Amino acid sequence: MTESKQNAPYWNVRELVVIGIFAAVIKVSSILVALVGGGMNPLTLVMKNLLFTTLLVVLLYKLRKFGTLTLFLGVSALVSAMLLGGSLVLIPASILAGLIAEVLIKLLGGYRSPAAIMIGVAIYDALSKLMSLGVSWFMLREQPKMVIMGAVIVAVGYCGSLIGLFTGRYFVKELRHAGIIHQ
Amino acid sequence: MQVSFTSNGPETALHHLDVRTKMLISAVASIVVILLKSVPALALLSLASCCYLMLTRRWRVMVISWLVILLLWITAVGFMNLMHLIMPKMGATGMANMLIPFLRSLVLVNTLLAMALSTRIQGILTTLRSLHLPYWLYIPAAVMVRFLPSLVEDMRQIAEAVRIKGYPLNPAALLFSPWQTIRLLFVPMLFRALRTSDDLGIAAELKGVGYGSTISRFREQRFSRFDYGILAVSCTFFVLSLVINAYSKVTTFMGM
Repeated sequence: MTESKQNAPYWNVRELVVIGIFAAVIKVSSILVALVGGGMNPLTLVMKNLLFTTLLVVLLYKLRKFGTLTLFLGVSALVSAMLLGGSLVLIPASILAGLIAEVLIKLLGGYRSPAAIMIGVAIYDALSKLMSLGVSWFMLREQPKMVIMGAVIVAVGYCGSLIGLFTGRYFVKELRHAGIIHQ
Repeated sequence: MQVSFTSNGPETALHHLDVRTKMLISAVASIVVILLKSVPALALLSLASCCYLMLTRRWRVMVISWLVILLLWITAVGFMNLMHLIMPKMGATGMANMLIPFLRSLVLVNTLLAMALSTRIQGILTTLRSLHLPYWLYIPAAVMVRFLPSLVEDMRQIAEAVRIKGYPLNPAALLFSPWQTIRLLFVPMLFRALRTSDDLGIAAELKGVGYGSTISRFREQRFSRFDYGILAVSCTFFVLSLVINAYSKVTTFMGM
């Protein structure tokens, strides 16, 4: 290995820019779905989750590197907390879920394996939603039955996430055809 | 451009407050509301956070957000009573218990709205720089913050183009032809975003971004007396609400 390669940072600027742009696109898509769908309802909930996992799968296909998911989540959570009203309590839960999913992707064959990416994203989404429900329980602990309602809504949203795994693969095919994703 | 993407409001005292101060207030509020479980303590904090939000003087946004929270509370009470009629075991367990989660939400919404309505994109970028984050966290965060307004504008243009072509963009279109709506709206945006990220990545690499050991700062960010004053007042309210919470033996309020 040459000396320049040894000194090269793990993340190069292009990769970091891609992560930043994707984090912005995902946030804007969520807002747009809510606007087009007339507020938050079961349909927009499914669509929002579908788009989130679709774009996440595309990102992980474009940047096949350990840490991409966790860094994306960290950046997204940081900016959400600063300007979009994201709850600061959810940040550690989201990053922990991301780390577990990344280790799972690594164990299942790494970022070279499409199945590992899809399972990893599905597991991340399930874990983060479960952890969010845990935080909701803290917020609603005087009326825990309301968490059941929350759980139903989250389950509806997760259906969208699962569909999003397959639309993500479809998007990747289109992007490969357009020559935007090379691998 | 302001963070909230809404029309610019009047320049208020809150605009001169450091973004880090507003972030700190939001962060502490999100932890304190979880610890509180008495109505008087949460009511005090809600009142204080309403006064804090009033500093923005964005009355319309304020009233709409409070009405939405009120509507959510009424809906939740209504549904819990309905559940109680259908399944007695699943019913509401007192008005105070129903009120607490919504008072928590009110405090969080007030502190976050105050930050969003009085912070400019440039302020967020300066704050990110002053937080001394590692380059691998700072660069994507700065790109995200910088590109959010541009992407919103892109989306507006794409939506306009879709409407000009004769495709409807409404909940019915999303319900009856979801796949087509997604393709029309998001595929162009995804293509555009990927092309932008390639161009921006190359430009940043050519400028040597990420390879320098230190970032030189044009202007150092410092807390003003006003920041210290607001932090002291916030701290007083947080401590006071925790004390009230500790001395409140029951979670009911005024017999509710």
